[in-house]
Amino acid sequence: MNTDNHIVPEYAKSPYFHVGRATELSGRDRITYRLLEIFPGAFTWFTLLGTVVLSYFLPIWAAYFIIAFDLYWLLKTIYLIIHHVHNWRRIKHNLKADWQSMLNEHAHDHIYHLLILPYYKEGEEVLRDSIESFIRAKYRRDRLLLVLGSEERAGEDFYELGLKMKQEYGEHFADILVTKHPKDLPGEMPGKGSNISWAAEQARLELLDPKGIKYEDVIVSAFDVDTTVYDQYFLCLTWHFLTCDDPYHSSFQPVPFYHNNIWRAPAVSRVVATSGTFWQMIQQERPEKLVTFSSHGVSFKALYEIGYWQRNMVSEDSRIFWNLFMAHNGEYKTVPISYPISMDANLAGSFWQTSKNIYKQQRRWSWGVENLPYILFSFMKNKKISMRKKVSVALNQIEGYWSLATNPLFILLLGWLPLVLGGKAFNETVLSYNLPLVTRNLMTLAMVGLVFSAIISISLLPDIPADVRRKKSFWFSRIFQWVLIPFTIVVFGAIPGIDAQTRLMIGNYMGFWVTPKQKR
Amino acid sequence: MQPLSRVKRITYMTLFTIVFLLCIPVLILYSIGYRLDDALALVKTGGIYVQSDITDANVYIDGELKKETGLFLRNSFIQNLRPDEYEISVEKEGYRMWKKRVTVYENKVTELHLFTLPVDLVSTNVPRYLAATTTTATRRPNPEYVELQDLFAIATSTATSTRATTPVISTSTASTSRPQLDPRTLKPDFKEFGDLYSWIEDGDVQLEWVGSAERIPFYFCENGICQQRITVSVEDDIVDYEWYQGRNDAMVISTVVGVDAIEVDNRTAPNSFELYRGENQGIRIASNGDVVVKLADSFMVIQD
Repeated sequence: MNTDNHIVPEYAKSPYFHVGRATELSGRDRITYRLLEIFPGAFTWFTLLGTVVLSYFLPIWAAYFIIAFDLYWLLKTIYLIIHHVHNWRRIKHNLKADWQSMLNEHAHDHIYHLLILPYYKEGEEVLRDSIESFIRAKYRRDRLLLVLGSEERAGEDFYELGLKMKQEYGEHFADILVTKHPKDLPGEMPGKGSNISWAAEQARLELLDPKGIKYEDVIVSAFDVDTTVYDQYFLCLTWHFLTCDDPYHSSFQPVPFYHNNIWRAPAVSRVVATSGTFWQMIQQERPEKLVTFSSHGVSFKALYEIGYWQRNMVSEDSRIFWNLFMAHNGEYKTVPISYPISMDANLAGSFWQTSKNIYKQQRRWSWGVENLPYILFSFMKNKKISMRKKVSVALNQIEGYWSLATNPLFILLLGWLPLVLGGKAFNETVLSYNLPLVTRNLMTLAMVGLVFSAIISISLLPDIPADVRRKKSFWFSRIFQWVLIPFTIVVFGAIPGIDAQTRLMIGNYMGFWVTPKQKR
Repeated sequence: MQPLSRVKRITYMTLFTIVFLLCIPVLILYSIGYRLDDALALVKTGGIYVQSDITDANVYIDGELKKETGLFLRNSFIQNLRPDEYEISVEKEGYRMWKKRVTVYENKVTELHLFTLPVDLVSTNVPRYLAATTTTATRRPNPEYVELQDLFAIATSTATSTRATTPVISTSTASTSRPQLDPRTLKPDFKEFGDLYSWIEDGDVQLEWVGSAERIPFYFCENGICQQRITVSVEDDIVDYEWYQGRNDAMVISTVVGVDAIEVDNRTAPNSFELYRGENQGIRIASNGDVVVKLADSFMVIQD
């Protein structure tokens, strides 16, 4: 697939624009990139071990740090709750709004939606649920183009499944294209990024060009295979595209819910899924910090001009934002549309398997840290981005990955570290006795934020199926699932974060892991 | 509906930063032990920590009720105390009052371990022979007495074998030459309780800590200064002693006038409780924690 001769932005033509890892570079660039890959993990470990060392040698200062951190955490929780509540109100508002009427105030007949649905070996039920949600959505059928992206490595049966879906549902769309991403293409890593890039190019050649559809009129939705849309998703997305000040320098981010099978998933899966939504809702209220995640929308023109998503790395959903950001010299943003889409919560055959899958999925998401060296390296190379923006973005990203890996451990484990390691002299001080009391009180206040999160989450949940409602064990787990949060933020938050950062640090690069989909 | 405005977010951020900067020194000073006095001046305070094995007790400082312990919170941490001497007492219905006079130091916590006994202890006399059923029947040995006799015999032989087969090398002689046998270990009343050595000398129990300074028991230290050896001394000569119920801060002692349970704490006058009054030939602690007093022709078993 030759997409190079249409690359437009100057920086996108540079040899390291689509770098995936240090080993793809040479000379000084390779060393620099490698050092940047080491940096996030090293910083995290330095902090964690440093806290232990500080608790041993300077327990009083460690105690001061812990008190300061816990106060910071309490205030940050309140600050984030304000964002969370505001986004909740926005989502409620947007779900009720009449987007068709709003859209009718703008010319929009020329807008097409190219829906890319990549799949590997997921079952027919998963595909059907997604496709049928697209059909139920309120939008002109003759403006919806669906691409089912199969993988050659999955086997012919899965390609045939795509053809079956095309035959069954073809009349509900302007067109359905089934693509088969060849395996083992040079320079590619198997995964969603390489698949959807292939699918997008095939869509250009077989749908857009033959139909004479202008690239600037096409909004691409890069979905996960289990993504289902709410009724007015395409209307809402189109409205934001048309009213945005520069739609070709913007991506569009919905809010990910995990409601497809939420009531059938175990409590730990519900809690982790809810926490993910919680964070994305907060980020929707901080658009300057918002980066594309999972299913998102972007103009085909912008994609085409930089050669689509990267095919040689895992976190293509966030990397595409950074590609576009760097290509446009920092003049690129993500527009939060505060309208939900829904995906599957983790569910497998057993609790243990579900937990393993959750961990692996969280680790893959934490592997987004592979963007950090890319960002910092690109800042070194792209001189056209303002220093102010570079510093602001760099600090924000570094803080984000660092806090993901360390803060849950600080909260839960740090209060007692000086008491254990600080020695006799420290343990005779009033400070040592007050440390657990002060941290407990601060954390208890911070946990009150959980109450708000729980209320908001509950208000957004779908109705409980009748067969689930009859189970007594369900009600018990539904009420007490919230006490799992301190456990989940460590086991499914900090530890996968540390795992991913450490792998990057030692050069044990991760490949793409396909989350198994199970509806019930 | 628009996202939260940037101006609002910056305002919130600024507000929380100010709150953080104002609260941090207050929190840290509070945690260290600083308090405001009536004249709103900062004063350094200290605290008392009472570790307790009993529930639902009342803790008093200078006669004022400060804490009521519960089922899950048995220990009491009392702070906001100006550096001074205080009388601390703990009362619970059915238990003997425990009272101590302690010094509180600035920014430090004085640690105490409550030691008390029920008011009514059950004492059972175990005679050598069982009561005869008829005037002509032969007296039968009391099997319980025989068991208790074994307790004293085992304890004696264990002490002997310990002395004979596990001689302790003196730790006070940091010599590079051949290690010397610690003469204290040859005494029949020598005991090792972890890194705590004890023996009787001149009618008092001597305690010496031979472990690391980090793990030294709290009663060896006051205001950061620790002694390596302390003495348990009462009015009469101590002739026998045992550690009480696995604690390293309480013991049962035998003197010529009787048997007492006494707490080990040289920082202040230790609490002691009478268990038995009269001549006795020694004491042992049974496996179930009962105190066994050897009398002339019987044993007295005192149950907690």
